[in-house]
Amino acid sequence: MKKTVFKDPVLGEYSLTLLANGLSVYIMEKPSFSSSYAVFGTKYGSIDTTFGINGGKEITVPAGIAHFLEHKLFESEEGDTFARFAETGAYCNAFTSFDRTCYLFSCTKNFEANLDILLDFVQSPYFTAETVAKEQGIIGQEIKMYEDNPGWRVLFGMLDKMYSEHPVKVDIAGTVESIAQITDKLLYDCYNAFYDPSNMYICIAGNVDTDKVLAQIEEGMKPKKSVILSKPQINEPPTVSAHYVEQSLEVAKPLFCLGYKENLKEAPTVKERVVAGLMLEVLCGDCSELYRRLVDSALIGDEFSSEYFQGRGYSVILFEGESDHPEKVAEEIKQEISRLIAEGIDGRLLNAVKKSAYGDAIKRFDSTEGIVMDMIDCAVSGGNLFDTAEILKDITEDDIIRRLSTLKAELSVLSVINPKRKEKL
Amino acid sequence: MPVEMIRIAPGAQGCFIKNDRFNTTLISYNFYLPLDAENMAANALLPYMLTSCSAEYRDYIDLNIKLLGLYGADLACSVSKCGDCLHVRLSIGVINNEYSFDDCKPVNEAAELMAGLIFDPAAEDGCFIDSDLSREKRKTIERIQGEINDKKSYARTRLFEEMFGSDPYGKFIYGTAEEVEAIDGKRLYTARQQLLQSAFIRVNVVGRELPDGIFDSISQRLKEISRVNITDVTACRMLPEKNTPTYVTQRFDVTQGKLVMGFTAGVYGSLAKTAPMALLADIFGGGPYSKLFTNVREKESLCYYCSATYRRGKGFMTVDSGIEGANADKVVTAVLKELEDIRQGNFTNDLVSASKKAISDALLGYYDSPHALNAWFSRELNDNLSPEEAVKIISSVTREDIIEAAKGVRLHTVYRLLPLEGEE
Repeated sequence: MKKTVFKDPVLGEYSLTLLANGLSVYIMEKPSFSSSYAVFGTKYGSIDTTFGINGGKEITVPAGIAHFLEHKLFESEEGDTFARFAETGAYCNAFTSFDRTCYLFSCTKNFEANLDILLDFVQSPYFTAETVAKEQGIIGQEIKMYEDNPGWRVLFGMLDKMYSEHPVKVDIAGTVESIAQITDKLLYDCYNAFYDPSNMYICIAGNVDTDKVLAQIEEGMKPKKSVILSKPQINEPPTVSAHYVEQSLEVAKPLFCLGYKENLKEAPTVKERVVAGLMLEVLCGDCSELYRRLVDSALIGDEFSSEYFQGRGYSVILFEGESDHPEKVAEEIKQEISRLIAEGIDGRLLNAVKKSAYGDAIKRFDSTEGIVMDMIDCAVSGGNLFDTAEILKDITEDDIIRRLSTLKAELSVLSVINPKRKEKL
Repeated sequence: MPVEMIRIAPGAQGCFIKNDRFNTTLISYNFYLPLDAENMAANALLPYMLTSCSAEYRDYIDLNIKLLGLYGADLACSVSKCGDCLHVRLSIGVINNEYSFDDCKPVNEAAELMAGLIFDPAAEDGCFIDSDLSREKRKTIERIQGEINDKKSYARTRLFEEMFGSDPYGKFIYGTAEEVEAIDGKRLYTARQQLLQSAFIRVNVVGRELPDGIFDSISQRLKEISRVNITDVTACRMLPEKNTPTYVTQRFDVTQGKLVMGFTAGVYGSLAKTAPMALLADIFGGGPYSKLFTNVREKESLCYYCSATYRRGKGFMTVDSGIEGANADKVVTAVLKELEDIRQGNFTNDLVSASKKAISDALLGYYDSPHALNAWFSRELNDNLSPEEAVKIISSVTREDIIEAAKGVRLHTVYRLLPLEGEE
């Protein structure tokens, strides 16, 4: 067991412990809080469809297995996990994204019993042909629910034209066709590869005692034949297949998602993520010149937002919103990027944005959930919880200009959802 | 956790919820007006207008820059229905002064900023300014039109319209696009005066320290206003039961259908009175242990989601579900069967125990969130119960109480949003 303690004079301290079996455990004690929040997660998401184990040949599996496993782990031979948490009163849930699957609970009482349940059910896979068939129906309905979700559809419309090889273009839950190919054997194969402690993490924040929790986790780890997992680099061409794509749905006003593809081989560092966030605030945050122009000319409303969307092998700067004229919005964004690169940025605005980002970093520690979500980012992408405040100090106008220069119009895709009917609903 | 409540003006209270665990302070102005169909659009537009600029920060970008300077203060507003009242909320969350690295005192400055937004708006001759008004009206109209984008929430809005008919509770909270379009600067300014004169007001502060003189300062401001006809926050017109439920179907070009069922519950108001109904709704369709989740969703696979919510302010319950269009009738039958089972006492003591534990855990978790505490103390207006006291009330409910509550529940209206015919 190797334990490292991170301290911050303002924000407190937390520990990262690497267990002998390779599991990473992050714990932040918050003794003044009533509740605790815990996640048992794996670095396994929807993009991990090709992998190898123990140096063997790489295999490719149908899309949607990470999410399918998330559903299935709640069932065990003895019964339903929800019923076990019902006895303790904890809230439990799980989620799957592009690069992670996480199982969680929050509680104000019975932490020890809840942690035992979490440790047990995540390490107790139980699948049969019959239970897999039933889940195919349930997940099929979930996929259909997302088909009616305009925000989801406009994002995947953009990703589909932006990526030709990378699995980020496929819905996290897969497709009705891909999940139809899932079998109990495939689930066990993927479970054994990705649910290895060396690929997993536990993150906890709240009213807990670190040493007691670590002892409980060590005791609760089940023996497992360890595997060496390899995730190949995805050979994604540095191009997009189209600059514009549109679909139609039952919406009142067109929705848009404008993405700028970036060709990163590795996931970005914490500093790169912080710089991207500041760049977006300077470019189109609600204090920027561009924001004023877009609002005053009625091109955007409350829904406008921007994001740095990134992970292993994909990196996109994206802008989303509703507008009667998505192409004009896209053009305005493109011109503002060029203007800022040519004329420079307002140093006072950058300082104000940095001050605000520092405030946001402080606020995150008011929520055990917020702390745990940041711990998961650290586990998946590196860095530590207290990095942001330090990194902010050193970021300059030149860093922002350099970052803006990486946005290339020839690698942009505008995805639009148009209203299906002309008449008012 | 100490809660200090002081009277700051007729029908206006200051509430300091002292909590040392947070790095931030939340200041929230909560106004309560009678739900009134004619004025709903103006009253709902008002907080958006007030949080977009002020006499001091004439320009919305200047205001946004000020917020950045307060270490990214979160200025927000919302409107919701609270029984027969419209609840208008304006709030600001900011990091505590000790985290400031310059001479800015974020908490004190945030308190002053909020007072300025509410008491010194950007206005000329008793009118809001046209350019500001046009911008906020446009955003509100987009909010109204955008309701259709989220079918789950749209289906619930439509159920309320059908269920409550001419009762203003059924009206969409932002009104109609036409009503918003018709609001001019004078009309909205009059709505603001009405809000300050007649609304019941509760100002919540959640944090380590009460900003110096905050309640005195608000009290002084309110003294300049003639506070009359203060809203009665206990008033409620409950919907009468219906012998034959109404069924409404609307078809859209969608993949998945939505089914929302509205029930009269026969009881509203304080938790002491409504706790059995709250537990009934939870064992019926609350957590994953509930009857709707375990039976209708999991065993019968009839829905992707299926949950029940009891609104004690108005005394009714809804069931929301996502369904295959062809299953609409089967789902209604299955949901009603589960309710009938509860009326007949066909539920285990373990289920009641699970529900009590889950509700209690959630209530005690409120102490860890400034926003949850603010929400709790802006709904608990009459009894001023703490979450801990609420836990005791929930714990005292018996299985017989739940069966009795279930007997008072009647199906009133069913709204079905279904895929186009032939595409099911």
